Amino acid sequence: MSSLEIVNLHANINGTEILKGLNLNVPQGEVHAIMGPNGSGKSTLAKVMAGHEDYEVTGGDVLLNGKSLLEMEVDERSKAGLFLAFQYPAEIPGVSNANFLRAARQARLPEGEEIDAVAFYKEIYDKMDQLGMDRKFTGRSVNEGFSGGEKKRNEVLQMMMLEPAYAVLDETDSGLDIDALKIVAEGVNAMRSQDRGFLVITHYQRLLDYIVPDHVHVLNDGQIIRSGSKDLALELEEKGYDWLKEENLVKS
Amino acid sequence: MSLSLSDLPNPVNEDSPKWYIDSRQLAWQKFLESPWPSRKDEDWRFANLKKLSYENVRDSEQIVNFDYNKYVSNSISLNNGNDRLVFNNDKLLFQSNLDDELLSKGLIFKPLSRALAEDADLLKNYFMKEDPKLGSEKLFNLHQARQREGYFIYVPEGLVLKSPLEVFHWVSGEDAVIFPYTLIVTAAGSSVTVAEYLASSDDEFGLTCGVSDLIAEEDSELTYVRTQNLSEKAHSFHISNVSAHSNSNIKNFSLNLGCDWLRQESVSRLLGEKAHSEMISVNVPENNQEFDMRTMQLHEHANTSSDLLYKNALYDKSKTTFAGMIKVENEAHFTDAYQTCRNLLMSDECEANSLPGLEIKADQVKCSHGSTSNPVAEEELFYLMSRGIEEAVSRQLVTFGFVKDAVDRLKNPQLEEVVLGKLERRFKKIGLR
Ligand SMILES: Nc1ncnc2c1ncn2[C@@H]1O[C@H](COP(=O)(O)OP(=O)(O)OP(=O)(O)O)[C@@H](O)[C@H]1O
Ligand SMILES: [Mg+2]
Repeated sequence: MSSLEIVNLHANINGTEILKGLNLNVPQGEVHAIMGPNGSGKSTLAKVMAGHEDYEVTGGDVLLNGKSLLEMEVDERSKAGLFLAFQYPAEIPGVSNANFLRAARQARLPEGEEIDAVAFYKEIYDKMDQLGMDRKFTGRSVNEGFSGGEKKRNEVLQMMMLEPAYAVLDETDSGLDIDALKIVAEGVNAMRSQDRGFLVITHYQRLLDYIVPDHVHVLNDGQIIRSGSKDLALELEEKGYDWLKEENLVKS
Repeated sequence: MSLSLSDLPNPVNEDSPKWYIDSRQLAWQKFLESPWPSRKDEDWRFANLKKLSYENVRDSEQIVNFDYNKYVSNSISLNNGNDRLVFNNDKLLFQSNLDDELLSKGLIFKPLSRALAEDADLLKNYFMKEDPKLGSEKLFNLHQARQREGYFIYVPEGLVLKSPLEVFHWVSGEDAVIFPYTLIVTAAGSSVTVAEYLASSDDEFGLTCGVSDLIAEEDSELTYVRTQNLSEKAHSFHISNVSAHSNSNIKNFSLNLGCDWLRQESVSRLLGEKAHSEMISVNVPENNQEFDMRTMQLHEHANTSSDLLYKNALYDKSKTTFAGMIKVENEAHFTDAYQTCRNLLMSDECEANSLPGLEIKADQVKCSHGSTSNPVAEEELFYLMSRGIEEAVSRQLVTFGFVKDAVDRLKNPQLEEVVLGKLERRFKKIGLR
């Protein structure tokens, strides 16, 4: 069975340590949620996994199906099955969404093989319909001038088109209106399967009503300080993070 | 036969109107008397003047090894039977038959030589009225003195042409020199789009020394698209002069891919209430290519607007210079003038110079100018790569997007396709880096 394992991960940015020995294991087929205060390192974790070059990994490992992701180039990690829905997706002027996704799909084909354009468009339109996205978004430049919610939907569209083994969703719910939240959650739920895992980063318990997690983890100051069932999210909603931080201080 | 520029024969037809013959003679005198540009001239800062020496150019008419059938059949871009003219080395090769209905309405679309014979009086009203404003008197005079062909388009009052007119200029043979002239006039309430393609049929050195006068009268629209795909040894010198009268809209678009050295001067004069001029240029030099581009947005009347966007993607040791001047004259209150030059640096060794300038004499003016020079943004690259697209492909996608953004301003799907097709072939040739 395949898995995503994060083992004692340490990472710096500009010489400041942000991840301080993070351990997490997401078996295939499960949805894990990560919650935690602002600045605790959630996006850092996501970007380190994806291979952003601003971060320096100083210790530990991230293993996808037993293979270290840290050895791989950014594009290789994606092709190995990792997908990151960004908290702040980049804008690419002049590159249409459709061409971008075509290139991403093309990258997964063996050399010399070409994408079937007709089938590709049918598929992308189906998925956009599912997400309630207007078809004109295929012709628009990637994320350029998109509203906050439109960007998030576009991230989910990419995930649906690339069918990763593991998806990390970094605050994909932020910026979505209530209807969009349901639509996006439905999209994610439709993708849940025995051979796919999710790591869902969120600040809001509400999302977890729609995407019901198998486990919830709390990240604070670069470490997982508590893991539990979906009820942990409810408890956090009620009490905030301080009681956990204090408990954690006492422990260490 | 090898010649230096000052020995070039004067290929004038003795039957031409006297004013035309006289103007050529005068221009030749001025050419001989004026000095070559020097780097001390403000208008030639950063220019590599070593390139400007022509010892062995040839009378291009003497060059015969040109595959007529191949190039005339290649001279179709829009594929919908557009009206077109095809030249090689300033000689007319082919002209499609103009629609009778358009002719009866008074449309003129013909080679300069024929216009001189048949429409001399009309031509004279518009012919080469603009003096060079950006430092190239010498080359301008050379053009006027030795010009032998080109074309004249006159769109009569109220006539709106739906499909673009196309003109092909081929240059062939070693050391060939051509002097193509373009004159496009849109009379009141008319509209036209003209696409002009300049290309070499081989990879020899040649010199193109051209002038384009674009005149939009009241309430008219004129779009001029010029693509330059000369050999990588070629030199090109080109001036375009836009005169925008009240309520007119002129779009002047250029694409430069070929040439070892080129100089492009583009002037827009805003002459009447609500005149608008758009100046767009896309340039993709590689190896040691040098593109020297000078522009002027000259607002001479109140309530006029201009918008300039130049985008350069530079590879290898290529070099671009962009010098853009916005000039707002005394009376030109409520001017809106924008100028942007963006350079995408695709290597550590390329050189992009930007020299923006502003001279404002009126009140209530909105002007902005800005230039940027950056490599491909890391965040954009990371985003594309995080979707599995390898680095070199991602880089090319971003670069293509960078230039496409400017091409989109054409707002003409047919022409955008033609220009993007040329850019696609260009990037294919440059390859993944
Ligand atoms: N370039 C940088 N230089 C220094 N510190 C940085 C840099 N980038 C991020 N950080 C810091 O790293 C810490 C973790 O940031 P991160 O974005 O991972 O937080 P987060 O948990 O995702 O927060 P949020 O909930 O607000 O999204 C923050 O304190 C942030 O200020
Ligand atoms: Mg974050």
